[in-house]
Order: sequence, then structure tokens, then C-alpha cells
Amino acid sequence: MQRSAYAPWIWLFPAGALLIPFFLLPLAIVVRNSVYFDDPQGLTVPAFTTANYLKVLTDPYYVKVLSNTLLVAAISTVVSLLVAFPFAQFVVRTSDSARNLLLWCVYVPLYVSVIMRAFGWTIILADSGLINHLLLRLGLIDAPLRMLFEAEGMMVGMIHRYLPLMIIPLITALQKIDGNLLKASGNLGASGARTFLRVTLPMSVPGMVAGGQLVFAGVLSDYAMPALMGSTKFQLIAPAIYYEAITNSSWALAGAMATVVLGLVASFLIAANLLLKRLAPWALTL
Amino acid sequence: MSGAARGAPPTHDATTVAELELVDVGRFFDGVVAIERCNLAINRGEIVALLGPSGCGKSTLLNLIAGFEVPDTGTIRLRGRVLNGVPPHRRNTAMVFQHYALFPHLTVARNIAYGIEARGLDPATRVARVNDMLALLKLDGLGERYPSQLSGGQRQRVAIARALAVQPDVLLLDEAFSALDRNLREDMQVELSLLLRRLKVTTILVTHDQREAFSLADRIAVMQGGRIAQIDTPRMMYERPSDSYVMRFLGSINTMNATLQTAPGGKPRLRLGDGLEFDAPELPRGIDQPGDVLVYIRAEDISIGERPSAVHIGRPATVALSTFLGAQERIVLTCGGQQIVVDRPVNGRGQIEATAGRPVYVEFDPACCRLARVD
Amino acid sequence: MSQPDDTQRNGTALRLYAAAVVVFLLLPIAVAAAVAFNNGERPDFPPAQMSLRWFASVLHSDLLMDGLCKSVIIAVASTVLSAVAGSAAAIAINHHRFAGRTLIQTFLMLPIALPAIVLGLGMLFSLPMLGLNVGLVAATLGHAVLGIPYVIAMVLASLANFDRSLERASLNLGVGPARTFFRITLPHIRPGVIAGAIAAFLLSMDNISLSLFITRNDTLPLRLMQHMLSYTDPSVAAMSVMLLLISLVLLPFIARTRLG
Repeated sequence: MQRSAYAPWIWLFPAGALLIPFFLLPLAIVVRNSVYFDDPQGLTVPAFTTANYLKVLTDPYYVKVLSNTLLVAAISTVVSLLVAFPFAQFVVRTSDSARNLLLWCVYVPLYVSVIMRAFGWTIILADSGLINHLLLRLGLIDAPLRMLFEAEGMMVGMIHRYLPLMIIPLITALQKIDGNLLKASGNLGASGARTFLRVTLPMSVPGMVAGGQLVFAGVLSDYAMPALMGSTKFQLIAPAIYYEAITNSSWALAGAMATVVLGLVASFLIAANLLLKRLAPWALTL
Repeated sequence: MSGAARGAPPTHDATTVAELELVDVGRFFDGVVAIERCNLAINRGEIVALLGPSGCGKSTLLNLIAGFEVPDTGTIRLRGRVLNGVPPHRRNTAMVFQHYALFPHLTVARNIAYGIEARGLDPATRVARVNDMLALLKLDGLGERYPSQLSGGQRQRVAIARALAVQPDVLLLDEAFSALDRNLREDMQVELSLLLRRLKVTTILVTHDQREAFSLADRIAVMQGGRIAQIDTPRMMYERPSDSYVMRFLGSINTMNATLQTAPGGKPRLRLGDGLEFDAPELPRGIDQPGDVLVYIRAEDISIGERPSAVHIGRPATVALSTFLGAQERIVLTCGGQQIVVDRPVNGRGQIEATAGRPVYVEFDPACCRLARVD
Repeated sequence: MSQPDDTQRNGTALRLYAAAVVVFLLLPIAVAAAVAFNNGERPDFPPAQMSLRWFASVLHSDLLMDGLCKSVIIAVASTVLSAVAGSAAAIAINHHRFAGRTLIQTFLMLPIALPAIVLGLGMLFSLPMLGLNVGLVAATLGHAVLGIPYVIAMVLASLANFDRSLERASLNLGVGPARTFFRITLPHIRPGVIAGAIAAFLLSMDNISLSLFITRNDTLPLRLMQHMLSYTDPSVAAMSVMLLLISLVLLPFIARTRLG
């Protein structure tokens, strides 16, 4: 329906009308505010200063918060990749009816309220919860393990929240691998292990990168998990931003923190895409 | 070494051991007989085509040889070694797939080297062989490209190079030309035919295209419903099709309804609808009783003339349409209420002109007919 | 049918592993669901005595019911906006080649990739400029922005196997572009639109990061979060089970259109 050159822009208008004022503008204001000055009386004054960034990037407290968050994001990404890959492989090889059931199991957690998931974990990880109960019963420990409201417990909840986002792109990537390629590989003399290393694994790199992007970006900016299951000794950046913005009314500082997070996420996404171009130049033409 | 015994699969005595043997091989699944007690012996360096429509079992047979499927009965032997139970990656039966199955994430050179690497040959040999293959398949300079950057014809060459690089005991081609358009297909068939004969590679190719089988194969096995209907050299197959199925597969044919009768003296006679009678050709298996039969005759085995011929059977007919096909002329006639198609060379000697509406006589040699039961 | 090819089979070890992953994925949900049926004050697992008392308690809680009401209003309104904007944008991307198409497509998909908390902060800052206050309208607009990429992704998937010659045939037979869209294109992309809308709806109902900044903390997830941080009774579980039932009803639609 290529009737006029304006046609695409007419179609794009509704999305533009929403995204420009309520996405582009807010992001721009965040960046703008980050160089403003937080008056001690709680007002944010329009003046150019880099004090906020200095604070975020040098003050030990904020540096710790940032590094905590990056650490959690990195660990979550790696662990979820390791957990997800064999599972995705299993799903792709299963027959259709069983596969649908497995996929359902992967999708359900995504659409269940994060509150419910966190609530479930608090019951499982509590001092008197399922896991401790089991370990005590089996005699493996003498006293309950403190997991809830510790960084470890939060990690479990975090990985649980984002695991489906790693599994789904992996399944998509593995499904795309033409069965004939695996057949051809065997036909040419490659054993099962070699076929996996030389064909399946390289061809699933795009899926790994996509999943990695979703998980890393998600964990980095997650608010609910640290708020519901986190430890006061191990703070993450999203609750910190909320605190500065709402409780402290330090809009400029909050803006700087948010811009830093934005920068980290954007850098990671771009770096991942570049890595993909490097490792798998063939994938972009598929 | 092309074309072994005529008209029959080569039997092996103590001195000739077939390169590849299928003995009583059968395969059934889901209650369907995919392959029914197949026996096949192929000699070293021979090119054999498995020809038939989809569903005839030719691809299943290829998969059995490659090891992607396991026979339910029978034995497959390659160079005397039993292949039953040997997994596909240990068989040395490299295959060229219908859509080539090139590894998209590897360059052309690495695709070709793939099987060689799996066999653990030293780097020097590997490089040498890859270069040989690139030259042999006219892929010079394309070694560092990715499959997505190649044309269809080039991809096919890479697929062939990749299979030949491992020096397989048997090369398997699975409808390897069907993805190419016609001119390219025919050029590649000629080129591959020359190459395979030069390298003396034992080859089995699966196709539904009669021309492909004819142009490449030393022997053709026409398959129907899981069994081999006839296996013969192309020429013998064309001149002496064993039954109507084979004949129908190899060209355009005409069908006539007739009644089989036994004339006094015991000779079987055929009687067409319009009363024309003639001696029946050799009766195939399964047709011995008098009754209704179908008579098949090839379009190129009929000719038209002004007068009924003294030698052959003639029937009056009227020309309906004449089509110029380049090397041939196709004439459609109405004869005895039926439509008859005749193919003849253009500007042949002594031929009459086929103008629409012209009354002529169609004539044929009854020995060229084949019979089938009315189902 | 025998499978001689080892690369294609699932061994027992892998089977057990997959089962363990499934247990991991579903365990907290199952536990929380079970706890909802507790008769006592504490979230015991397994429940010593079962009853529906906490469901009743939730239904009588003005705070939670008001939160539910507000969340549903926001979700419905934002879903409608996302569906319209996203579908139209997907058509633009799929049907037309125009300058900057890749850039625009990337831009439209950004709300998924970029942190919602940053967007929330930004909207808090920028709403006064547009004459808006925090509240239902702001939340609707914000959630709509988050939902657009999902609708676009699903509708593009629907369009991917849409044969455009159907549209050409319609035009060729004399039906104008607008009617062609409604009679030919729309029915075909409807599954994608519905799937995207459902995804956007569920995400809106569960949204925390954005709502923190642009509402008066009165959406359901925020109310539940406050409750969970202050009390330890199973009412959070009961409310969640009710929400889960909604998700379960809507989920098959998404799975079928996305993966089918």
C-alpha cells in the first residue's frame, strides 16, 4: 500500500504521540536534571554542575551501590545462561505436546505478579522456611541458614525472576537451527559432541546474546527484588534512586544516578550487539 | 566402468564383490511399508539413480544407506562391511542434501573442511584437500565467503565439494539438483557426471526427474511403492520398459481401453473400442485372463501418415492441434472418440503436415505397447 | 521409530535436570498459592488448616480492592493505547520502506530495553511541564509506553507470514485502502494484536518500577508491596492467587499466537 510518502508517518503518528512526550522527553529531562543543583532545602535549582556525577562516581557509598548492582547483574546473567542452556536444549528436542507444557512452565512465572513470586521465596527461604526445614531434618546443618533478606536470598529471587527471559531467546535460537545441519554434520563424520561444539553452540550465540541483554538490563534496574527480598547491607541502585528522588527530594542526584544506570545499560546493549557482530557475522543475514 | 550386465542387476560371483549391497532390506513404520524387501548391488565407480515419484521410497532407501534410518529387516553392506548398527557418523557415506544444508556460520573453506576435521587429518592434508576441492568444483577465490553470500549454483558446488572432500565410500545425492533452475541444472548435471566418472566415485542419486537420471546414471532403478520395479541401463530401460508403470514414468504416453481375448490358435489378441484388433505384445505378470485392459503406448512411438501402413497397426484420426516445441512437434489428434498425443521430430523426412482438421492415419507397432489391468 | 542419531535424543540426566528447572520455576508460585488457603494468621507452609478466610479478607479490604480497581482501569486504558499505537507502528514498519526505518524501529522497541525506573523518574520530572499530575492519567500514559514494544513485536510476527498479495488482490478488485485494511489485513493480524495486548495488560497490572514514581502509590502491586513489607499475613498470597487466575486464563492466547 505504497500510495504516498506520508503513509508510514501517518501510521507512526499514534506511537510517536505517546513516545515523544512520555518517553523521549522524560529521558531528556532526567539527563538535564542530572546537572542541576540540589539545594539543601530540598529544591532543585537549574544551574550547571557536575557535582552530582562526582558524587555518584566517587563517593564510597554510591560506588558501593553501583558495584553491588553490577555484580548482581553479572552473576545473574552468567548463572541464568548456564542454567538455561541445557534446559532450552531439552525443550527443543522434546515432542510437541511435552514441549508446549514445558513452554507453559517457562511463561507462567513471567505473568505471575512479582509480588507473589517474592512472597513465595520468603516462605521458602525463611529461617523457618522450606529449605531450612529440610536441611535441619536431614541433619545437614545445626542452625538455620540465614538466606532471607540477605544478598544470597535476593540473588535466588532475582535469578528466578529473569531466568525465563534467558530461556526463551535460547529456545528461539536453537529452534532455528535446521535439523538438516545436524544431520549433515553427523553424515560428514562428526560425533554428537563435535556436532554440539561446532554447530549447535556457535549457532546459538545470537540467542545467548539476546538473553544476556534482557537479563543484565533487567537486573541492573530492578526495584522490586531488592525492596522485597534485599538486605540493608547490600543495597542496589534502583531503590537508591527512589530514595534520593522521593524521600530526599534530591532530584538532581537521582537524575545523575539514573543517567549513570541508563548509560551502563545502553553501553552494555551496544557492546553486546558489537560482540554479536564480531562473533557471529553470519547471524545478521539469517 | 559403466553399465554392468544388461537388463538385470549384476550378480556377484567370487570375483566381483559389489561395493554396496542391500540384501532383503525392508523398512516399515506407522503400519506403512516404506521399503519392501529390496535387493540392490552397486559396483565400485558406478552411478546409480533411484527414480520415482514422491512416496515411492527412494529417499527412505537413501536414508537407510546413510544411517539416518534403521532397516527393520535385511542387511546393508559397504565394501563387505556390515553397516547395520553403525551410526551415521561412522559410515563414510557423505551426502549432498536437497537444500545443501551448508553451515551458515562457517566460511566455504571451513564448510568443505568440516568432515576432514572430524576425521582428524593433519592440517597440511586438510588445507591441500580443501584447495583441491575448491579448484575441482570451480570455487576458486570463494573460500572465505559465507554461504549466505553465494548464489544457488555456487552453494550446490560447495555442498558437493564438502561431500567429496571426505573421500566417501559412497556419495549420496538427495534430489541435489531440484533447487536449481533448468539451465543451471542441466549444466551442473553434465559437469558433475564428468567429475564423478573421472574420480571414479561410487554414487547413488535420488531424483524424481527422469532427465536427471538419464543424464547422470550408469543404471537406473525405477521405484514404486517401496520396491524396485526395474533396474537397467538408461537405454535398455527406455527401449524395454518392463511394465506400464516404468513406461509411464519415462515419457508422455497414451492410454487406450481394450479387451484382451484369446484368438483361435491360443494367441492373445487385443481389441480396441472401435473394433480394431491386433496381436497383443508380451503379457506382463498378473495379466493372463481375458478381460478389460489398458494399453499404453509412448507418444514418440506413434506416427501419422496419409494412408494406413501395411506394416503397422493404423487407425483413422483427425488432427486437432499441432504445437511447436523446438526440437519436437507435439500433435494432438482425436481418434475413435479419444485424444491421442504424438511427438515427432520437426521437419522429419517423409512426414506429412499436421494441419488442424486434417484426416490422417495414426500407426504404431504393437510390440511398443504395454498392458496394465484396469483398476 | 528407532533413532540411531545420538545428537537428537534426550538422556535421563537431561530429563532430571529439566524437571529440576521446572520445579525451580514453579515452586515459589505453588508455595504462595498454597499459603493463600491458610486458616491461621501466619503464612505457614504447608497450611495446618485450610480455609478461604484470607480471600474474604482481601475482598473486604478497601485498600486492596481500591488498588485493584485503579490497576484495572490503568491496565485497560493503557492496553488500548498500546494496541492501537503498536499495531499502527508495526504496519508502518512492515509495509513501507522509508528513510530511517531501522532507527525508528529500534527507538520504538527501546522501552523494553531501558530501565523503567529511569523512565519513571523522568516522567516525575516532566509531567508538570505537560500540565499533568501523578495519578491515573499519568500511569495510563506511562504504562502505554511500556506496552508498545510488546504489541509491535507480536504484530510484526503476525505480519511476517502475511501474504501481501492478498492486499493487492483486494485493491485490484476495486476495494479502497482503508476498507482493505479492515477487511483483509486486520483480521489477519488480530491474533498478534491480541497477544500483544494481553502481554501489555499483564505487565501493566504487575508494574512497580514505573508506578512508583507516577502514581500516588495506590496501584495494586504497590499496595501489596506495602502490605508485604509491614505485615506477614497470607493476604498478599490470597490476592496474588486471584491475579494468577486471571493470568492463567489469558496466557494460552499468548502462547498459541507467539509460538504456534
